[in-house]
Amino acid sequence: MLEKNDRVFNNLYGTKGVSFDVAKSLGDFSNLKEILGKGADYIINEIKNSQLKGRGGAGFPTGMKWSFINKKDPRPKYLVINGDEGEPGTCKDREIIRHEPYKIVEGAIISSYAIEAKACYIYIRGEFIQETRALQKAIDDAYANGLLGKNCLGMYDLDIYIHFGAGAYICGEETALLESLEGRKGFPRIKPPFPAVSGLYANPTVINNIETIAVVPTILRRGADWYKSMGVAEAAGTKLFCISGFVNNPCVVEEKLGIGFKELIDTHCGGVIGGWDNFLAVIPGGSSTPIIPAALCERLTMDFEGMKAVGSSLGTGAVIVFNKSVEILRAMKNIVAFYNHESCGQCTPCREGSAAAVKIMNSIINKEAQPKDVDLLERIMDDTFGTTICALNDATVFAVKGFLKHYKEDIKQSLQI
Amino acid sequence: MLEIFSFSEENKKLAQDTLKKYPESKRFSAIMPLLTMAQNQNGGYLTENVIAYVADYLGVSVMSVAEVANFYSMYNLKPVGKYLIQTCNSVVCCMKGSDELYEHAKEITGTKNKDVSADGLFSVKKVECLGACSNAIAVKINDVFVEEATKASLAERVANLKQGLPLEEKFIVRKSLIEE
Ligand code: FES
Repeated sequence: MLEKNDRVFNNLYGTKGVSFDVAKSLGDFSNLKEILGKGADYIINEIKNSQLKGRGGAGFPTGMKWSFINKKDPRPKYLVINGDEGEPGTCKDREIIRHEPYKIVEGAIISSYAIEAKACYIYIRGEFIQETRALQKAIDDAYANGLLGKNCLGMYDLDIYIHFGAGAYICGEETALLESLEGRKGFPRIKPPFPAVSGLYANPTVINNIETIAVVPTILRRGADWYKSMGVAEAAGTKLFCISGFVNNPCVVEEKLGIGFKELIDTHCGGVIGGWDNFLAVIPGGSSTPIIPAALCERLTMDFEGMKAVGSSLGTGAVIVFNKSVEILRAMKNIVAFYNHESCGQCTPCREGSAAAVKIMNSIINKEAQPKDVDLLERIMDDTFGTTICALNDATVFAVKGFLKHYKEDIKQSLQI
Repeated sequence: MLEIFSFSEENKKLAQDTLKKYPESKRFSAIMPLLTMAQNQNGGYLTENVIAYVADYLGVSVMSVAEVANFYSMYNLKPVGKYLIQTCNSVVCCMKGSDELYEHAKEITGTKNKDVSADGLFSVKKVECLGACSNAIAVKINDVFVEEATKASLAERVANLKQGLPLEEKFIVRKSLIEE
């Protein structure tokens, strides 16, 4: 379990109040000038050493991402912060935005300094209007205190702007987000070129998740070694877990990576509703991560390797717990329908494949399907995997194949009666 | 009949401030924020005229603004009630019974088989994950979250709105059990 004084987010629930003064009293901005004074190379190296991986789902090493920016390139550089959380189950960035916005601002300052960006856009899903007031206030406070604007601390120029989305899950995909920020529909771009070479307005751009940016200042303040000392080999540090579904106290909480799944649920959520005997399965990292039935959860740990061992992944840290009141088929259908609804429609395999999958799921639920339709569903998933511009279709495939892996025979049997 | 739309003085100022967020030559970037402002001013939905106004305001083609308005689900292209009730339809909320809550909302607002209630107050629609899954079932009324929504709590909200009371903002913050 994470010790209290090892938390990055020491005001995650806003219990101490949310203001510049509170943030400062909790350590934010305390030695910002000193950190920046060590230089961009030091900052990037320290983040590399900390083994911080992107917290938005893909888990790409953050320091490495920053080092792809070519400083000799004369074009303007941008930092874009992704706050478009929308993967069902995921509600962690919301807590940061409304209760720890100063960490986002300080993280943006340090990260922008490291990549020599003079402008930073924070893209927030349009639904978080109320929450974002706290973030806008944090940005305003930073301007008022000489931490944003021109020649701040005698070291840097930086402006931070908030840009709202308007209800499109696909804009969480980084290049779709850039399209959206440029005022177009959120169609993911073909890569390469990668954003580090041609991102926002075709300029070099780093895109990081809100949580990733928000932990940067604390890592630099307390050191990469401290951060690494928590977590496990492949998964260093701490992570926000958003636990939802059928637990007694669903909540968002910061924990060490590598914590046991059951410990996580028992300690912070008071266990499963109806007790562990009533536990059915968990979707461990947002709706696209493959479901894990109860039998495989006994020794499950919340880290990349632990998840891989049971054929799933850590995703966004969105832990969706099902107890026996949940009908697996309904959950599966809901998730398939979600990805179908959110497909941007650009690639045929995703658009048509997910539509066909919804049709089959409906016919299974209505008992109109034949057992061979379940095989057809699997085949459509296999055939479309890896054939599209972005990973949304692969997310659908992961989710569906996860269900099929564990419940295929049950589903087929339900159709034979 | 052609209605005329133009930004209020306040929105004109806001639009100018919004444009300053983006590089001078990147007026496209302001399409989304300006559409949102226009929608709010226009009673919660966009018409062809409003879309054309935003296009003219920015000096971009109507098509490029229409395309954006069509793509994003928060832009309403049909009239909506003064209060747009959005029930989350995604997996956590759905497993907790959001279908039933949606039907209930349709019933108590008088919007069964219609988009807007007869008094013009309400519309109800299903939306995808609202990003408040730990507080399922999540519902939004306009910009305001209703968390851990039940039939009773939603009915109370609707009754208050029918009486003309303001939309009350309150968040439910769920803490870890070991948080004192
Ligand atoms: S699933 Fe309903 S808010 Fe996320």
